[in-house]
Amino acid sequence: MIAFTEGLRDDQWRTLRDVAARGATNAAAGLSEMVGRNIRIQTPDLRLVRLGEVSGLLGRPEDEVVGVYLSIGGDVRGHILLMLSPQEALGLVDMVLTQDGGSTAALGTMERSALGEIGNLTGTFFLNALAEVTRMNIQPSPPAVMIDMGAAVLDVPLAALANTADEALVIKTFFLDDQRRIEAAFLVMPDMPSLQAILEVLEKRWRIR
Amino acid sequence: MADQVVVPVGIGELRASKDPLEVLVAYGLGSCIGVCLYDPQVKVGGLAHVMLPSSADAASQQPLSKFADQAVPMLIEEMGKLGALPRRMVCKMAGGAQMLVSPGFSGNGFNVGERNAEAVRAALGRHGVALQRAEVGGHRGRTLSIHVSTGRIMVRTIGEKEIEL
Repeated sequence: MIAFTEGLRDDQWRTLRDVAARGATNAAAGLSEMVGRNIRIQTPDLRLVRLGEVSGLLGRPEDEVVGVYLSIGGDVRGHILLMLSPQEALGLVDMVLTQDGGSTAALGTMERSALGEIGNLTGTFFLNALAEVTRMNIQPSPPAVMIDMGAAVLDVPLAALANTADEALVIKTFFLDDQRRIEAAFLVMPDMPSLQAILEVLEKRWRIR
Repeated sequence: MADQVVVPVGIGELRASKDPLEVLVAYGLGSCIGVCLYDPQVKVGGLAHVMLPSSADAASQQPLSKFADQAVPMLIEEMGKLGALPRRMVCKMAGGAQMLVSPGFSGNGFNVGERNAEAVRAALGRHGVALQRAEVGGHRGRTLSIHVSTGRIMVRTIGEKEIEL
């Protein structure tokens, strides 16, 4: 059972930050193509936290959020969750459907499907970058869209992660559209055995570091 | 009139209380189950925020209170320290929803909510505590709270009026 109770070494954090930045940059590139705008990313924030602390990183537990979830399978197991306010979701759907801002008023079947696609695309592009740099086999599941209390949405990855550890690496970033930050938290949480595996692979491949 | 003190019980945690000002709350229960126990004779209440059904299958045992089979006896014990007795306790629980409703997700790993509810029922049975109400299943998140002074237990979901369990 892996427990990073000592924390990670500085060089391990550097490795993970590098990988996270590559993944997030790729995700933003994919989103840019999808919406026809120049979307960039905010430098990813990486933390190793106890599962009980994850919710606190993201706003109030009862606040309604839209969560687009993908599970990660293959050589790496874990979870991707795009979490945004319903208001932000409406704006993002407008962007994807190339409509004027304010056009989408409610999140019906078509809108949920569009949000699923956004999650699917950004998640897949993130994982592609990770797969490329590690040469591991990494597959996302199809997306699932949830609209509910933030803490309830988080139960999906947290309950799964709780089987193997009491902590999670949370990679969090936001997408930037021109001057504005899109308030959609893009979270990637590998499970602890997968984190160990990723570090081992990259330490071998990037032995210079 | 003193104000109530809201005490959040986070994921995997549990708490017992005899403080009449306290309201124990589990916010946003998805697949997790909020288990409320109350001994009306001594006005001792408790809330456990359970994540998983059984400690037997899991590689990680920390914290033990995240498992239904452990949380129930641990909560009974904590309440016992405050004067509560299992035979006087009643239980009401909420949560255990299936949050993922998508063709891509099915099978054992993803009905953890239902398995949590079963595990809580089994644990209550083993420890002689009666289950009075269960507001479990479905696909919606729930917030569960218990007022220690009265034993009143409330459940709310987004877009609905708060109801008493």
